[in-house]
Amino acid sequence: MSEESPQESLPQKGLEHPAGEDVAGNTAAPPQSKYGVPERQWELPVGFCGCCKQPVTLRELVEHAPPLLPSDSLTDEQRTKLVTGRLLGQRKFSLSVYGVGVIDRERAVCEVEAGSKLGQSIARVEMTMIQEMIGLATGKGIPPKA
Amino acid sequence: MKILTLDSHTDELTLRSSDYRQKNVYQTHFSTHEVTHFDDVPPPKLRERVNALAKETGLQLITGAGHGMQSKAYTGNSFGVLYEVGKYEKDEVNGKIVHFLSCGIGGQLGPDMVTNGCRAFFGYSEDFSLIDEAAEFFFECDSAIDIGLIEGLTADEVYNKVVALFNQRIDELRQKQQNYAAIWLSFNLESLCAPSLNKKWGDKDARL
Repeated sequence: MSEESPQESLPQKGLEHPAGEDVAGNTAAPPQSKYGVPERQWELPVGFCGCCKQPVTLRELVEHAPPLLPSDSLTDEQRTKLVTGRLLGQRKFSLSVYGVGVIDRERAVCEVEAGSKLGQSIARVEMTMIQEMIGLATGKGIPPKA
Repeated sequence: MKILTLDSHTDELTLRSSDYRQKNVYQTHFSTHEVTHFDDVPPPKLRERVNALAKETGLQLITGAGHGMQSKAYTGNSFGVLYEVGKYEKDEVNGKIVHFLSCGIGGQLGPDMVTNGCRAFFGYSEDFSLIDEAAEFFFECDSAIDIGLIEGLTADEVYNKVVALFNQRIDELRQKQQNYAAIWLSFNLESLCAPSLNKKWGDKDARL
């Protein structure tokens, strides 16, 4: 996915500035693990608020700590909305799949909405990505495999 | 050693894997062996050629990268079916080791080949997917199967070496904040089929 691509990656926190310093060089910095989150990921939805049921971005989760609906309690519709919301939030999307070929963002969204085998794989990867990003952003690290 | 390669190269994805394998496996690790590439044979004729050559005495390894069809068939150029469950002769796989970078065929075709005498099968039970920016890592991990086999390792030793490489590259991708690619590579590793995981994919002590 492009926000992580070497060619297109946005400035990564921590690459130019050592952990423990912000852009201005101040030492009152966010947790070191926050530096491991690709920039674009902060603006992508990672779940739904347990109160208002609205999508919550990674940034909102870290800054406001709203209660998230547990991922295993999401309805199929919520899960689809979450995954497609993330796909549509990417600057570009390209995935190559043997048996299928090269698929773009629109195709990926269709596959997820259709609940195809490929769509399920994409959803599974996105849900794993969410857990990784939350782990990195909150300093808990990447969750171990279930 | 006689080797048969069956790489598809008629679309963007298979062209990439074909190019990678030519440069990083065939020209480097297979160069001292008797290798047959059916690169330019059109699909209708290719199945006949595969059938004839695969039955020749001395052929030990069949390897390729191409699209799979519903876990039952491996295809070459233009989706021409080369191997399909129930539609090939036993002697085409009997006594050989087979490795296909392809989607899903570890599910049915691989075990079917082993039932027909294939000594060891390597492949994937799900769609093999790759992220462009890290494509080299994806191809490298899969190619380690062919390289390990040609080095004379047992199927089990190959599996262990390949898993270690997958995990190394997954870690490196995460360190480079390419988490999405890391997760897809991990997904591919989870669907890797090899004798070490189940006897339906052959004998883990098999070697070339």
